[in-house]
Amino acid sequence: MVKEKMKEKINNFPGYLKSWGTTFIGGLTILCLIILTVIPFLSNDLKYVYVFLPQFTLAMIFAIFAASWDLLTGISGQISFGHAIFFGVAGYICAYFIDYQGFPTWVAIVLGSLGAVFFGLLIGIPCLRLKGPYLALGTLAFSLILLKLFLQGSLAHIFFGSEGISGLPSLSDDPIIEYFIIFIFTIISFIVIIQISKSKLGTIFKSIRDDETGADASGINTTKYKVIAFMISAFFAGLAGTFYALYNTAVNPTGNFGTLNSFFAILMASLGGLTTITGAALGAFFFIFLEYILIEIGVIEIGNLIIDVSLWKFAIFALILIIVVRFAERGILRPILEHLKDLWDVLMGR
Amino acid sequence: MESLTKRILAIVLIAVIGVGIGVGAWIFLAAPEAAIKYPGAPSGFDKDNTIVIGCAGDTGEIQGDANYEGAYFACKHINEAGGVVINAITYYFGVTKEDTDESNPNLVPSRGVDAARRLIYDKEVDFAVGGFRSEALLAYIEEFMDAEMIFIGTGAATDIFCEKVNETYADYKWFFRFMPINSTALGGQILYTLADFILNINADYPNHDVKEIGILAEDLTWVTSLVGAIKDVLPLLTGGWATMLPEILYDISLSATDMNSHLADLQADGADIVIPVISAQGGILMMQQYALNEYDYLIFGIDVQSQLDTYWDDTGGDCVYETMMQTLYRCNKTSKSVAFWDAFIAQFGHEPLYIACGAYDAVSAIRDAVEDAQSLDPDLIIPVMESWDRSNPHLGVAGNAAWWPNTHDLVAGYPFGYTLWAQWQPGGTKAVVPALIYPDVGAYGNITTGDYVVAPWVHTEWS
Repeated sequence: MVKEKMKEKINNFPGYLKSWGTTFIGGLTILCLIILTVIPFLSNDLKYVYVFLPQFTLAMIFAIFAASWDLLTGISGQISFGHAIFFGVAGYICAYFIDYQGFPTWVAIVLGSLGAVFFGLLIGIPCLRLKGPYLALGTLAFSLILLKLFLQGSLAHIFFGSEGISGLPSLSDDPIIEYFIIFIFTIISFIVIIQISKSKLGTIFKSIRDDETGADASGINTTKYKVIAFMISAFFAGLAGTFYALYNTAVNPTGNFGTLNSFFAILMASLGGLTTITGAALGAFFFIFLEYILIEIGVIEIGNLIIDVSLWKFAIFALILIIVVRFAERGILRPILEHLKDLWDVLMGR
Repeated sequence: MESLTKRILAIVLIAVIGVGIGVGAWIFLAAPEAAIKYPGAPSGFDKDNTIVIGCAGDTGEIQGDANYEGAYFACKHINEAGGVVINAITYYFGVTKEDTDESNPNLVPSRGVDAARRLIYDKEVDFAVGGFRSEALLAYIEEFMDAEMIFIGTGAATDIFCEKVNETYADYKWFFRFMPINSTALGGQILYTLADFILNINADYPNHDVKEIGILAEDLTWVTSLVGAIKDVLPLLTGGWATMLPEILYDISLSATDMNSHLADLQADGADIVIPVISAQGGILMMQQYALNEYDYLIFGIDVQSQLDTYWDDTGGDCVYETMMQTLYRCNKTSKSVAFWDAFIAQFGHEPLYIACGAYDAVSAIRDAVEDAQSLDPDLIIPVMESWDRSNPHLGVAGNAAWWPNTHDLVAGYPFGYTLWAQWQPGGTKAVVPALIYPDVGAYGNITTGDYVVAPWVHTEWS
């Protein structure tokens, strides 16, 4: 019966894809994918290939990370302020197996992601008794404990100290190949996360988020599903963490476990729009490219007036984020989609 | 008709947005000529014949700014002296910088990586200098090595960079360390100086045994081997006289109360001398609490912030009597030191941080190496730089630079890479005090500029 259903789904897939492609969301998604596929080939200028293109790679890594947070917090309602735990642990495990055990990169990536799942389980269980802001503080505390442990110079022989592990290979020496590897994993990750959020499992997550007591009363083992949510989210955060480690070719406590990373995920997902998953990607791209643009502006010279934007870039960055959050409380994805939909309708003559 | 107008307007809007994005991208991707400065170069020089130095550092922070100032100043002097001639063509030096954000306590390593890529692929620099925070540099150094570009370290002391050169020379041969000497060598210089200091000061106080030594260090990796060495070796170097108290490793985010608690513990343990091993802001807290409570021990060690001329004001004068390692101060460390010191203050209005001295020497060394090699090819320049060994050092403003074979690490010890010991004295002046590791009068003149002064409340207690 299941086999037949699967077969039917597969047979109907081309038709489904065709009809989905003609919808607004489908068309927009395909357009974005085409743009992202073409972008690496638009120029062979060194700056374009080695500086501009890696911003997309970085944005996609953070998109996976932010989406994993959105799955845990937006969809499942388990507020995490310590998501950097999974990001950092996976990066460290990946780096350790490459640098100290000589494992192939891809094996190390799998081990790193699975290591994050294990930590998801480890942290999920004690945090089950906590809810809302207490859960948020609990996860934050875990992340701070790990950060401090890894920072202790006196424990450097165990946790590699503040210098961490360096000299890792990158995913590819060619930024274009690196881009496409991350691109493919981003697509797969988003498909899986979106499908989870739409599946029966996602419905259970949402029911726990909206009314845990009610979900419990209807016979859902909320404990089990909350741990599952932690583990699935940790897997994708871990995957992003391994890619980030390989992007930088190094891991260290503040760079990989730092609380800032947790807030990056929260900020990106919230900027895009909570519970949307795809909003996380938009938030990540917005975040990374806003910083990129501010760095690129550099020094502005108007007559005798010299404004070094680079010195103020983080202040300007924060100010822009505050303004965006003020005027797009539910994230920027929904208003953008609404306006694009209007434009789409006009173009279609509707 | 209305629908058609709307459709046309929508298409125009999309076209305008598209063109806007395109123009914006073109502006951002255009070569940033203005970001490269050529200080001291004559007007109308040929910009095809330039050597551009890329400064990797945290701009807006003292370390990154010091790196850029040192490199800028060296470029200015080189250009004013006529640049460098390679195969009958005169080249002038340019300098540019990128922000690695490495002083940020919340380190984002990808920012350093991106900064390195901008220097290499956007600004297309020929050489790079910089680096301060080991964990950040460990990430972005790979970009320079992959690009086979000579990178001279001017701020990070950790041994690991030169160990990498030694272990995998083919991958890391483009890295050289110019400043400071590595942490192990720093440890050695501290040990010999301290042992000598303890024995000498002990002789000055017949009524008090100066023998209990405490260590107050920030709990970071770079201090681990140094603290271990001090604990193990200092008693031996004093012939068993000095006794080491349990070391205090503190979290770098500590408060003034925490710091005072540590200082009080050291007092309670009977410390006579406390050796700080501090690179971050903890030094200010330490000296404020020390002066406030007038603890009965001397402070003698490493406190990077105290090297700054602003430290006196930062501590409200509480740093008085603190003695610490300082790479360069106004003295005849080399024949170039005093002139450099005065000229730097005249140019920038403040004293040079050790990173500025390192960057100045690094760029000057690049100029000399390029001239000797008569080429910009790193494969020809590296052997020239490697030839600067103990028998043939490169004279700089902060020392005579000589490298150990295979590691590209600085040879430590007088007259090569060594550190001075400077004490903050009443009135906000600083004196280079006598120390075992260098003579009072060196090959280029007076090195020491004053005598060590014991804090009066300690003097009273010990007398």
